[in-house]
Amino acid sequence: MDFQNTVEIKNLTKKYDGFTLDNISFNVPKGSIMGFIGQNGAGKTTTIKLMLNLLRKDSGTIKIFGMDNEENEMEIKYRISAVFDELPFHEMINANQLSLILSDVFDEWDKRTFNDYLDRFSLPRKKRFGEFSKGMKMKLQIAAALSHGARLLVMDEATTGLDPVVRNEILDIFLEYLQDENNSILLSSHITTDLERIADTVTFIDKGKILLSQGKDETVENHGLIKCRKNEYKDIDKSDIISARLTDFGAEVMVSDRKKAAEKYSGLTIDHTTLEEIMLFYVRREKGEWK
Amino acid sequence: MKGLIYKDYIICRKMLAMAYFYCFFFAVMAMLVRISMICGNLADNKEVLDSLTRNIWLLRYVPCVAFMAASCMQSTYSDKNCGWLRFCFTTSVGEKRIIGAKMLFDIAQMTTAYVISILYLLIFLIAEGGMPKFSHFRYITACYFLFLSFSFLITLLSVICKKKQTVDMIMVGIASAIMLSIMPALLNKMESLEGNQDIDVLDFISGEISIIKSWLLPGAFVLAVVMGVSCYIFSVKVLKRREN
Repeated sequence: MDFQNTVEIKNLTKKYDGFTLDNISFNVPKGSIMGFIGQNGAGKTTTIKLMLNLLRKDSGTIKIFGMDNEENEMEIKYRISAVFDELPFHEMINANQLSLILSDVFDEWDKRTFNDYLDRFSLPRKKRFGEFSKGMKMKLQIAAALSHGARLLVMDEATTGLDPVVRNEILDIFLEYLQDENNSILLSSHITTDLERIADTVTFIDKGKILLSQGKDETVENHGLIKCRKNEYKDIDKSDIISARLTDFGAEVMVSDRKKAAEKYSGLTIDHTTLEEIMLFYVRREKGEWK
Repeated sequence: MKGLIYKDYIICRKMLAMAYFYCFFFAVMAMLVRISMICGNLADNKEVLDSLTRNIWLLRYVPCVAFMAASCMQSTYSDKNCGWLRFCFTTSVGEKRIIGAKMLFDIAQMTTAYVISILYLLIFLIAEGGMPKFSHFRYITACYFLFLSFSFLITLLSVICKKKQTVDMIMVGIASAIMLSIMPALLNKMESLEGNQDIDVLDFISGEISIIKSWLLPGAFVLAVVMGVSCYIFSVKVLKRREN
């Protein structure tokens, strides 16, 4: 089947007691890595569970590989790998035994690829997973995820809690995986520096709503941080502001259109910003001003 | 299916090893009693030793099957605790395959316990110089089907109940009910004994279940089949609902 977007989510809604995933829409283009950013409880895991059919949606459509995720569940899951922050394998088994078990779970299980990843990650084959460190457990999950020809990797907070060395190693593996244009990655994380390094597109979610979903470079390039004095801040049009951080000396103001702001407020300094700052200012947009 | 069953075997093998060790321990004890009876000073106390040997094998085969049921429980609990089921739901492994593998594993464990129990029974009855009676096989076979139903029930409960403690409470409740129904009669019987009289546990249990004796085996078989089919259908339905 021919498709442009590996994942297409339209008007997806799921209501819980106290939380609503509210009519969200976004795409993961084929051959790309999308960073799914949001603070804890924003709705990232709920969205992923809905994609994987672990939860039933209230309304909306989810298409993966161009197919409906409920009607073609098995065909889709045949080509998906999901990695969570917790190791789903029993702690009393080892890598050799896992390979045997997963050869039954996945029809296209490639033992040689799995063993190659084990060697590359220096993971022991006869040591029980209970004795593995957090980093080793995550590497093991990724080794398993990449060893059965999956076309979409779904990572839910998979790099959280790992040291920078391990995280970098894993990000390199992702970039290698994307060398094949048919592969895509949805990487849910609140570690924005990782996404800044490897993501092609980013989707911000907050309180169950998508705040923005676009190219990463475009996002970082378009947004800007105005650093000004308090009296200068008062002159800035409120409709241009996402939110503003007030300091003892003045204010830092996030704007969504840096070029337009540069023309409009030519006397002010407008700095480039980062995904982390963008996330921070968007999350506090309802407050308007914060310290 | 092979890999999924292998996974359960790895998780339960310590529990299984304990069950087999338990059998082996009682087998050695029974043999020592028998050797003492033939060669040692205890040769004169034949009646007491016969009773003792019979009680030992009874103590052996029932816990053997009980351990198997417990190990079924261990495999389903482990699946929940480590997120294995959630992992399976992210793959193309369907609910039917998950439950089917779990039940096949239950059957394989129970059958192994059953075969071992039968072998022990044969060896000890022949060692005693007697011939195995059909009633002995009938009891063990009935026991096999009852425990099989029990293990299916555990699989079902572990799928339905989200909390491990809930299943534990139900299991303790069932075990307590069984004990409470047997204990009063056993205590009465013990109080009525005189001098160096002894209770033959097998005879005692046979007496207790004499009312249902004739249909114990077919009843247990039917129960296992009904329990198996209903647990399978229900578990698949529950798993389809997943986290909703």
